[in-house]
Amino acid sequence: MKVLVANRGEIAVRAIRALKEMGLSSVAVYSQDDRDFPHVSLADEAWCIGPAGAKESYLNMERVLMAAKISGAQAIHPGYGFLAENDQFANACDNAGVTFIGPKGSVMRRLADKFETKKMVRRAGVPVIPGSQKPTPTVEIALSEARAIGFPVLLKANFGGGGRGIYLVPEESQLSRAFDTARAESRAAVGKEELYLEKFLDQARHVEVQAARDLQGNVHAFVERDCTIQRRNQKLLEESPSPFISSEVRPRLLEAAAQATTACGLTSLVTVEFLLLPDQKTFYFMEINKRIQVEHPVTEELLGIDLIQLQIALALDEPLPRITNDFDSRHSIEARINCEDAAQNFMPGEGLVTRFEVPGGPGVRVDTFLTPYVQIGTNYDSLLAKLIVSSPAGRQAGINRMKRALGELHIEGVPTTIPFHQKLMNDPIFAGGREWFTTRYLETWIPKQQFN
Amino acid sequence: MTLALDILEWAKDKPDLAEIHYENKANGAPIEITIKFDSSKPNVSINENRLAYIEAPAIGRLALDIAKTQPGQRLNAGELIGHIEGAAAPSRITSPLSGKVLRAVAAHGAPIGYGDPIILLEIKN
Repeated sequence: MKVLVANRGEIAVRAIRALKEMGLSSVAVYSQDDRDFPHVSLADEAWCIGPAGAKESYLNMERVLMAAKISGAQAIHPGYGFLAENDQFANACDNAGVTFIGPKGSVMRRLADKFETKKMVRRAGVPVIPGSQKPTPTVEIALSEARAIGFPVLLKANFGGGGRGIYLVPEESQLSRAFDTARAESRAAVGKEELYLEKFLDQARHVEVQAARDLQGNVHAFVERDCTIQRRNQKLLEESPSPFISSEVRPRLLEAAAQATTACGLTSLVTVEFLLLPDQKTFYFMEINKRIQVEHPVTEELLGIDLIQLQIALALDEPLPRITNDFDSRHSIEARINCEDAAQNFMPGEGLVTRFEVPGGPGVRVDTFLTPYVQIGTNYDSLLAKLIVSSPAGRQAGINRMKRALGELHIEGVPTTIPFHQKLMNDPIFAGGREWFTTRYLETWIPKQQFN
Repeated sequence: MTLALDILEWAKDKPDLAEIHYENKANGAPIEITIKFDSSKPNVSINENRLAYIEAPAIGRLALDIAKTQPGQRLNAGELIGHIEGAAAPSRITSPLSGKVLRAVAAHGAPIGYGDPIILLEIKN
């Protein structure tokens, strides 16, 4: 059985490793500027599919499928990003007789409509962020809806995504202008004017639940991940369990995630995102991600499971195995090491990696594509490596282990966010794990730090 | 200049050749030429770069015009010498420059990746 990995960087390496352990043949694809990257030589065979840049290679459905055809691959693992949540691609794989390792294209397509998604989830009894139940056509309707929801509200474009098309309206007097602006910008960006309102939960933490569902409909929700450390809506660090989810609340949260997954008709591995309020027991469904995520190793290390192998097995119609959510007092943390200069407003960098040494010892894992003398450009995302630590002795031990591991991680030749993580581990509020902070914490925290 | 090309001409029907080294230190005008051959991936370097590859414009299966790509055949810049089967545009394989075919390094009907070398071409002025 041969599987093509339609991605690059660390997730391609991750998927190829899983395939090797499962005794399956791996096929890598690469753009010309990636030709000396590790995923190319790690796979059993590799095909160059286009010139530099994602558009002509990893994002090009026709070229990826041609590589599957000439290599004889029977399945494609899309990784994350690129074509991973592209329903057209999932359908094209179907038509080509190739198994897409992810949910069905038709299901993904239906879920692109956020109202549809929220309706299905709400009907299943999962709490959803208070907001419009259908597009808000006029500013008068927006006003009455906003009054019912309660200011501050968010005005959102139905077809926006990735953090775009969102406008904060703190009070009534600003609604009319925001409405006109949002409508015009939405029309300009995607040719549609559909807007809707949502309550602005500015005191919330971001908590997500990994779920798995097989083709027979059996579903399992894993222990949650807390991803509140974000900069400009990009996660920088994730941990599991969340310090703010008690063992009383956890069953409700996990059950909600399982029900949301089932209600949406999703299979394979998905992640259900929630916002958690300061009372530490009220949570609202935010959205559902239909791909494997960057931070999946946090869950793997907490529970001792292989999510990529599970994802591949489910795609091959294997039934969901029995999985335990027991973690005793284990704790797991992942630091994303990006090619960015924390001292220069996290400006992305590039260059030749001249030194690369990984930490070791118990409970330390590094997922990366890095190797000495690999060239980092700016064509792709800036993720260099993921440093994941886990400890059986609780969160503080996990933080100590992360500090220790960061000290042993050496990457030279390019800027990295290692200094950022070192500072964060020493932050009393983060390390304390008791004081509430939100996804905007770094906004005020970062300017106070001196990164060298 | 013509000496290097004469050497290549001489070498082209000797596929097992790994390296040619020519030296002539006579007449106060020493000449030294080294030519290395690699059967899997020709990597030729001479002191004047008169060689170029025609490369695959897309991934797919190679469909070569056999007659046009025999060693010794002359090609014009832009001339069509084959296409990549099944690929969306660009799928046409054209010679980037005018020149003479030295050898084919990929087989008609074989799978080929983007940018893979197909024909080794000797470029004329």
